[in-house]
Amino acid sequence: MQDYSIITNGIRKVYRKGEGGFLFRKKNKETIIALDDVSLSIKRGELFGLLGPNGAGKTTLVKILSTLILPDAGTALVNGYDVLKEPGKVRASIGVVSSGERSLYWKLTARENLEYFARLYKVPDQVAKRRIRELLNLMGLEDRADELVEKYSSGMRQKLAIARAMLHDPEVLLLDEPTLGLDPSFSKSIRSFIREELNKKQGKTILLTTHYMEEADKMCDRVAFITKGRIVAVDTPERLKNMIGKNEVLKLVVEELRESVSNVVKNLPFLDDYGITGMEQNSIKTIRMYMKNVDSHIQEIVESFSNAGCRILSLSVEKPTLEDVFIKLTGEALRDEY
Amino acid sequence: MNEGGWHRLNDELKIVATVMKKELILYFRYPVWVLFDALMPLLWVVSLVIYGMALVGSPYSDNLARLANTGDYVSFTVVGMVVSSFAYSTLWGMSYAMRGEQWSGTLETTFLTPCSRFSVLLGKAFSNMLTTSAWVIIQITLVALVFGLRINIVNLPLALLFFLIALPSFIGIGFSLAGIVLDFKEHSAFVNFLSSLLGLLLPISYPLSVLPPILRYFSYLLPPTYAIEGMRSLLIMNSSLSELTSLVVPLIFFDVFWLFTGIAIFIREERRVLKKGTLGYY
Ligand SMILES: Nc1ncnc2c1ncn2[C@@H]1O[C@H](COP(=O)(O)OP(=O)(O)O)[C@@H](O)[C@H]1O
Ligand SMILES: [Mg+2]
Repeated sequence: MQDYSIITNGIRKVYRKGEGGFLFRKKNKETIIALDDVSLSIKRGELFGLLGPNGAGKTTLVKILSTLILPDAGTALVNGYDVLKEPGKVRASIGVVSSGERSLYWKLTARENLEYFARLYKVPDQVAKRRIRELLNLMGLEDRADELVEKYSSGMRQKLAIARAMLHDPEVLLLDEPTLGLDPSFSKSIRSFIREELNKKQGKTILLTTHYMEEADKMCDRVAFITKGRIVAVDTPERLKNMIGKNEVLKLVVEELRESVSNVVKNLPFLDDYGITGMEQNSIKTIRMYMKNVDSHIQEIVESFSNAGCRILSLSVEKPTLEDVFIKLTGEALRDEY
Repeated sequence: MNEGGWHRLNDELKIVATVMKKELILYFRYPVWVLFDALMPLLWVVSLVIYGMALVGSPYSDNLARLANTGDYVSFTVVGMVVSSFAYSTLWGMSYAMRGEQWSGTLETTFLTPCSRFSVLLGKAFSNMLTTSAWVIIQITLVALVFGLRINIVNLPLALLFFLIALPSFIGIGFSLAGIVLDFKEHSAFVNFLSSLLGLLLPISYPLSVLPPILRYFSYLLPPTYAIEGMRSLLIMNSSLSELTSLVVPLIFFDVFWLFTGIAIFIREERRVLKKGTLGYY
């Protein structure tokens, strides 16, 4: 019985900054803790989201699970195989897609790329032939299958990268920010393809990393928040959002001119909680305030900020999002918004 | 070997062939490379031949005849050039291709597959040898037409066999370089240095006996030296069997030594980059 497709236990990864090349080893001993005691269990058939800002350690975890990086401590099982002891079997069990477009040969056609990688995955020729036809169809690339990949748009390349990851019909898919840099409508179609076709219809277990909270919220069965190499929460999106309670969110973007905005919010007694984001060197701050009955407080809030000399740039009332929970738990924004 | 073992070997051989095919397709899709590969060695060999003839005054050198077993300067140099280009194509063909994949971003994708890295490397080495052969045949034909070549064609199969004996050592050195480049992220500086060094130490356009003794010791540590001397003996000098044996024995030693060393270095360097997390970096 195998209930979990991916299990990690106490994974730790420390990079040594400026570790030199072959001849000249630098003495710089500065380190970055990319992953710190990461333990996750992802169920078979689950679409699991790993949500966190840039530099949180998402790619490092995906690469450890795909045998491209060796962890410093901890164990990881993928499809029942240990990434350290049976890397070959792990590789045969996973399909990996990352955000870059550089994972394919641009001077080969789509079909040539797929044929090449099918061989490297040791897919029997007859099976490969059928599978390539199916995948090209599924991704809507059959008409342009014999064009060089360099002629493709970014979106088409990403589709081809997904097809490549599916060649050997792997149990588990690891998708590292698969919609990064794609235009919104394309991202949307890739998202629904991942959810509906790959996860629901084909039953693949999927680990998806993202720093878009909508992506994690709308697509995933469960989401883990990661920041600075640590997992800070794991649950379904609904249950995570319940952490904000029945509150509504008032989002305010202000220019901080005289008084610090945190002084202003501290003096608003009816707030259940709040989060302030924005770059330190920049005077523009985004404040998210959580409270009941927003309508009855708007007037007072606007006046408080005006009196403190803040210029209000925008104001909106929203429902709580995963980002609100993220800010509540970590004090950090997923992206720097203005 | 059990059945599963044969099956895996068969799979890996198919992968070698697949990588070869892919490399050849890519090669011909970059016309500039093709032009470069076709012209460079030709310019090189022709200028060496002309240089020699200018110094000696004719394609025949009495001095060379005293030093080596032949006075035919043109044939002497052409064989040296041909064997060394084959040697070079395996020595750094693999690390060059590895660097290319790091640049294009396909190295990680390749390492994600469950096939052996050595199959991929061999595929690259063999495709390189194939293109080198094509250009070499053209070059030899041209040089033969223009300058005249006296080559003992009957011995060609034996000469090829001799090259095959030398090949594993080249491949072993190639694996080592590929491993180092994986981590070092630099290729051309390396190769420029190595090819200048080998240009001095290998008996390409002069016999080893003209080198100062101390350099000659280094020459004899290099497997390509034996390959050049052996194939030259077979193709233009009609050397004795004992002379050939004295070249084959060290080569077999180098084969074993370099294959093991190459595999060990590659595995060690691969682990290093997986630890550092820089496999795909360029
Ligand atoms: N090979 C590496 N060498 C040194 N530092 C690295 C390396 N890869 C990533 N890092 C650092 O580790 C941290 C986590 O990076 P990463 O896993 O790429 O995060 P994410 O994918 O969430 O943006 C970052 O601070 C990043 O700069
Ligand atoms: Mg990343």
